[in-house]
Amino acid sequence: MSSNFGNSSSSQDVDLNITPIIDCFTVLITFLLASASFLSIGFFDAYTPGASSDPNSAPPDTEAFVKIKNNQTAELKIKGRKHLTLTFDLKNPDSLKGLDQEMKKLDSEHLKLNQVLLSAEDDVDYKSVADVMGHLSQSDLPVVVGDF
Amino acid sequence: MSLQITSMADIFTILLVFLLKGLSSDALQIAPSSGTQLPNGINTVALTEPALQIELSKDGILVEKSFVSELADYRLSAKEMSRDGTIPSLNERLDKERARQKLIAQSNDTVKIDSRAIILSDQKVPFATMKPVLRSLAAHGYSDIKFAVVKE
Repeated sequence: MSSNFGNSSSSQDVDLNITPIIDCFTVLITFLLASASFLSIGFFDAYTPGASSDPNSAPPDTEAFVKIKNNQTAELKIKGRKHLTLTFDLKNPDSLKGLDQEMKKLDSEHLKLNQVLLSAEDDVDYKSVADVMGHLSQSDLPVVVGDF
Repeated sequence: MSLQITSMADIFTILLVFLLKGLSSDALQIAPSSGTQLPNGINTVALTEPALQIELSKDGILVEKSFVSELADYRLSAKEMSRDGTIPSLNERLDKERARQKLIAQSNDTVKIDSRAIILSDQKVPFATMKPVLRSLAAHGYSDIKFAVVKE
């Protein structure tokens, strides 16, 4: 890389030495690659009990409970204007698709349902809870997590 | 034969710009401590604003990366729990956090008391450990909880 400065009588060739620049770039890129986080983290919205209830809102005519059990099943219980109890196998993705469908159905049935209450037995791990929360997110209903 | 490093400099410049842009756009970068393995999750949402971070790992409960309470193989011992089902050491830390927020809110009208908290939990943490954490959070007005997972 060279440039000519000035007139022909006082011309001067300048060579830009880019080797130290390359050195700096190599160190910087290595540092940025090492410190970069490649995990893409997402979030489930949930509430603690008593948080989402608006005192001015009409009382719900239907209640939905989901309880995750130690035997890797999730029980969906609907009480009130609609009565239903369904069990889903957490190990079986096809079974969990049924939970997706039920949540979508609850959305479309125009029930006065304010929230879905999610609970689990003591030995159920967070992985199973996250699995179920992902499927409950199919509906727009807020999920309340607690000990019900 | 001389090595043409001008094109290499071009590539490095593009890489550097790309990495620096990624770094600046990820201001709300949240990462669990090493050893904490988040579960995978579907239908997740993105985090738009920062919130108080509570991490549940194999050995302890951390608030904003500082150790608060001990866990033995993901479980709380009986001495770490109070009668009302909350965790006294976590309550103490949350009290301090609330006091700090109130102090800031007093002098700055745009700052409001935050009801949001982020839970970064290892996938093996049992619900028995999560329940008292949620109770402590609820008792301190943290009602809007974001559960972190790895996007599938």
